[in-house]
Amino acid sequence: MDPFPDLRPPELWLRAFRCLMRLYPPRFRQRFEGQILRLTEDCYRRRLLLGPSQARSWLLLSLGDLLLGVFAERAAQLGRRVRPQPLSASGPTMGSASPSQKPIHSKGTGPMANLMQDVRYAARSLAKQPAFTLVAVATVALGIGANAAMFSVVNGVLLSRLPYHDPDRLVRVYQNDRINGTVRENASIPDYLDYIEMQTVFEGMGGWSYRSLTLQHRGEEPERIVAARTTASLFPVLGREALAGRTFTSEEDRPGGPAVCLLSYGLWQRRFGGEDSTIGKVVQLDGIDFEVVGVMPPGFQFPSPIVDVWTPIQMGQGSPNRGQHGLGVVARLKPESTLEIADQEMSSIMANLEERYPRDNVGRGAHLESLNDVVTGSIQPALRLLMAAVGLVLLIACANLANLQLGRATTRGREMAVRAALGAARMRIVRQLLTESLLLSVPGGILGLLLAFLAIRLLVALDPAAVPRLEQVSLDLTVLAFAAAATLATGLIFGTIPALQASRPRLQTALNQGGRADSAAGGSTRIRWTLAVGQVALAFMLTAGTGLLLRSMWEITRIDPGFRPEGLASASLNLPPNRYPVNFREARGPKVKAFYKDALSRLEADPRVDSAALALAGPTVSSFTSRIGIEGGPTTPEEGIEEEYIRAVTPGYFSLIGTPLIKGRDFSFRDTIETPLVVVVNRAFVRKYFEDEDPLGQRINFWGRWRDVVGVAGDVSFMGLDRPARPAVYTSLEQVPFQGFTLLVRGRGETEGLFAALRSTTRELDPTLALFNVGSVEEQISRSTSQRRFILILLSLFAGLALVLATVGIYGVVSYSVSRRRHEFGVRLSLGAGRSDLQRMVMSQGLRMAGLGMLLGLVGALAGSSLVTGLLFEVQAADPLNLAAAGLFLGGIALAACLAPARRAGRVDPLVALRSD
Amino acid sequence: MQEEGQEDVSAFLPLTTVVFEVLLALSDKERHGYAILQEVESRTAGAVRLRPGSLYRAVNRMLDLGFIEECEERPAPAVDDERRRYYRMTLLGRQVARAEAERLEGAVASARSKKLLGGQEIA
Repeated sequence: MDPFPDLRPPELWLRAFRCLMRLYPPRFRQRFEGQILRLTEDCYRRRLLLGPSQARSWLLLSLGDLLLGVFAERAAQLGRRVRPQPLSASGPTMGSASPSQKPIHSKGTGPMANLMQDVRYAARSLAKQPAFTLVAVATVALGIGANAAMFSVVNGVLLSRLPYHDPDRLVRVYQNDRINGTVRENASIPDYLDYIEMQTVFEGMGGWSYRSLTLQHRGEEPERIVAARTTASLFPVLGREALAGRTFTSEEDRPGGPAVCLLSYGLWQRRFGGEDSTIGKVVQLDGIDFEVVGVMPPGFQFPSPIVDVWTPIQMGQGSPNRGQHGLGVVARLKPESTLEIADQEMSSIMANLEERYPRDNVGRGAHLESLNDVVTGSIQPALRLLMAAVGLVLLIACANLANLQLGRATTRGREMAVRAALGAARMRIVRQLLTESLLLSVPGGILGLLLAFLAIRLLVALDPAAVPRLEQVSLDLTVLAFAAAATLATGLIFGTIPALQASRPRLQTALNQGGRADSAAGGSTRIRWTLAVGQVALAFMLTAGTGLLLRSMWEITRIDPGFRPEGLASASLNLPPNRYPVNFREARGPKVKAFYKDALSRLEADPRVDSAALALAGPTVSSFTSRIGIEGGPTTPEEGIEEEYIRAVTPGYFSLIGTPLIKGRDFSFRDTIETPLVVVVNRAFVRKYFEDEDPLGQRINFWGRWRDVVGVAGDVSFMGLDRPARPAVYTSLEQVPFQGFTLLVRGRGETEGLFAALRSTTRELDPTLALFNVGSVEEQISRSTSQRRFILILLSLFAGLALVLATVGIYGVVSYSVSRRRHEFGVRLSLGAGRSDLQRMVMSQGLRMAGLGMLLGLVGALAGSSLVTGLLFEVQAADPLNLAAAGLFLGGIALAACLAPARRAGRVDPLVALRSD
Repeated sequence: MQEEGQEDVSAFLPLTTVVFEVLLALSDKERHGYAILQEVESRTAGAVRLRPGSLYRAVNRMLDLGFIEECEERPAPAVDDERRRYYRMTLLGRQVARAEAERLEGAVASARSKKLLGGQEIA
C-alpha cells in the first residue's frame, strides 16, 4: 500500500501521535485521526529531504502542537456544551483560538480569575529564582521519568491482559511428579484424551507439542523453524482466529488427516512477503508438502514466541505412549468454575489414572496454574522489586522537592507575613504556595514523560530476551494516567507541608525580624531534617539491595562452569526421519551414524577447526531425563528409582569442552552396538549413588538395557550457572543415536570462522539441511544470566539516582542551615570558638543525620528483604558485609555532601555576620 | 443559510490566521490536507507554517461552522488514499473570507493614514 515504507516516521513516533489522538474528543478523533497521521507522514517524508534531524525536530514540534491542541479541543468541547459561540479570536495568534476561549481581559473575582492570578503570580515568582526552579523541575522529572518508564514495563508485562479472549479463564493444566518433586510437567497424549473424556469443569481443552522442522519454499535457502503441533481445539479455546484464511477443522485433526499448516505473521511477512495468495500455497516442511490454510495475527505467540508454524497434531497416529510426557495442555474454565474447583477435579482424575496405569502414571498428580501466572511468573518478583525501588526513588525526589520548597518558604516568611497582614486569608496563601508547587511538578512531570519515552526505548533495546512480552511495553494511556497522578500527588502532597508551614501566621515575629526568619523557621527546620533523614534511609535501602544483587552477579560469574567455553562454537541440526531413519529400540541407524562420522572427519579436516565433537545437547543445554536402575539398588518405579539426565556424546567430547575425566576412560569409536554398552557418569552422579564404592564397573539400566560405567567426568552446570550440578549419565551417540544433535567445534581463530566451517560442512554433507542456534558457547552462557543483568542494571540505575538525589538533599539541608546560622556562628567565633570547632559542629550534625537515616534504612532493608530473596545467589538478604558496605558508601557520600557547607561555616567572618543583623 | 447570500458574517470576525489562510488556500480549488499545507507555505513563503494538529483543529471548526465541506467525489482509485479527504469552500466560507479580507483592508488603510505604511518608514 505504502510505496515508501522506509520513509515513514519510526513506529515509535507514530505510536506517540496515536496515543495523543486518544486524548482528543472521540468525534474529533474519528474525523481526523487518519488524516492527521497521513499528513504527518507526508510532511515527514518531505522534511526527510532536508535531513533526518530536520525531520525529527519537525515531528517533535508537531507532537507538541498536537498536545496543546488537546487542551484547546477539550476546552472547546466544554464550551460547546455550555453555550455555542461563534468563531472569533482575540488576536491573530495562529492556531491558539478556539471558539469558546474567551480572552481574559477583565480581572474578575470568580474562582477562575483567582486561579489565573495565582498562576501568574507563581510563575513570576519562580522565574525570579531560575536555579531553584531548575533543580526542582529536574528533581521531579527524574523521579517521574524513572517511575513512568518502570511502570510502563510493569503495565505492559504484568498488568495488560494476554491477547486471548477472556484470558483470565485460561488455565495451564500441568502434571506434577511426586517422586521427582517436580511440578509443571507436561501430559501424555493418552492422559489428555482421558482428561477430555472425564473432566466437567472446562469449556474446552487444547494441547500441543513442539517440533522443529526445516522449511523449504520455492527453492530458497532452507530454514530451521519451530513448529507447534496442536489440537484443532486449541484456537477456539484461546478464542483467536486466523488473520487470513482459517484455523484447523476437526476433520484435519484426525489420524491420517491432510497435511495443512498455519503460518505466524512474522514468517508470512519474512518469507512470503505478506501476500494474500500465500493461503492455499504448498510449502515443504521436512521434505513433506503442507498446504497453508491460514496466517495467525501479529502478536499471536502461543505457545511461545519462537513458534512460526502450527500443524494439526492428529492424535492417535501410531500408538502413543502414556509414559511420554510431551504434551502441553491449556483449558478454558466454565463460567461457574474456578481454578480451585478445577484443581480438585483434575487431581481426582489424575488419581484415577494413577490407579489404572501404575506403570506410567505412578506418582503423577495434577498441577493447575492460570495462564497469566505461567507467562509472566518468571519475571514477577523482579518487576515487583524494581517497582518498589523506583517508588523509593520517587519518594526521595518528593522529599527533595518538599525540602527545596521549605527552604524557599522560610526565607519568604516575611513576604507571607506581609500578605497576611494585608488581609490575605490563610487558605489563599496556602493555595498560592500549592499553585507554585504544581507549577514545578507539572513541567517536571511532562519532562519526566519525555525521559521515560527515551528510557523505554533504551530498555527495550537493552534486552529483548530476558523479559517476556517486552514488546508490549509502550507509553500508553494507562502510563500517562499513572504519570499524571504521580505528578499531581507529588505537587499537592509535598507542596502541602511547606505551604501549611509557611502560612502559619506568626506575623509579629516575622515582621519584626526584618526578613531574617531563623527562629520562626524552627518547625520547618525539624521537618527538613526529618525529610533528609528519610531520604538517607530510602537511599540506604536501595544501595543495600543493589549491593546484594551485585554480589549475586559476582558469585555467578565466579562459578566454574565445569568446562572451558572460550573459543567453543556450536550449532544444532535435525536430520529428517524419512531420510535418516533410526530404530531406537535396537539403536540402529546406519545413515545417522555415517552422518556423525562424516561430519566429524570433515570438521576436523577444516583448517579453522582444532577439534570437534557431537552431542545430543551442548554443555549449556539441559537434556531429557529417564528412569535409572542401579544394579543392586532399586530397579522398578515401585522401589523408588529416580529420573536422571541422559546426555549422549561422541568420543572426544570431554576433552573438546575441557571437562576432566577423573577416572576410567572416555568413549571410543570401538564402542558400538556390537560391543558391551558403556556409560560415563559425572561426579554428582557418583556422589548420589556410589558414595562409598568404586563407580567403575558398576552397572546402570535405562531404556531397558544394562550399561557398564567405564569413566567418571567432572560436573558441567548444564542447567544454568546458578543451579547446582545435577547427576548425569553420558552415553555414546553410537550406542544411543539421535536424529537431532549439536555440533561443537573449538578453534583459535575468530568464532565467525568456526560458524562458517559448521555451515559449509553441513551444506557439503546435505544441502537440504538447515543449521540452527549457531553461536558461541560463551554467548550462550552470558545469555543465561541476561535477566539478572537486566535487573541489576536497572536497580543500579535507580540506586544511583537515589544517591544523587539524597546527596542533593543532605547538601541542601546542611548548607541551608549553615547560611541560616551565620549569625550564631559569628557570636560563637567572637566568644572564642575556633573555626575547626564550627566545622566539626556542622560535620557532626550532618553525619548524625546520615547515621540516623542509615539506621532507619537498615530496618527498612531488613523488612523489605523478602522482595529480593528470590533473586539472590550465594548471599543472604541480611548479609552483614553488604549492609556494612552500603553504610560505608552512604556515609562517605554524606561526608562529601557536608564538606562544602562545613568549610563555609569555618569561613564565616564574625564582623560581617554580626553586622548583617 | 447559504442561499440567503447576505447573511451577516461579521459575527465570525476576526478570523484566526489559520482559518483565514486555509480559506484562501481553498478559494481556487478543492484540496486535501497536505495540499492545503503546501499551498499556504509556498504562498506565504514559509511565514505561516501549519502543523497537522492545528490544521485539522481549524478544519474541524470550519466544518462545524459551515465554512468548508468535504467533497463527495474522490480521485481515481490508483492515486487515492482512503485516509485523504478533500475539502472545498462553501458560499458562507467565501463570504466570511471576503469580509475578513475587507476588514484587513480597512486595517491596512488605517495604518496608511497613520503613516505606518506606505510613504517613508519611520525608524
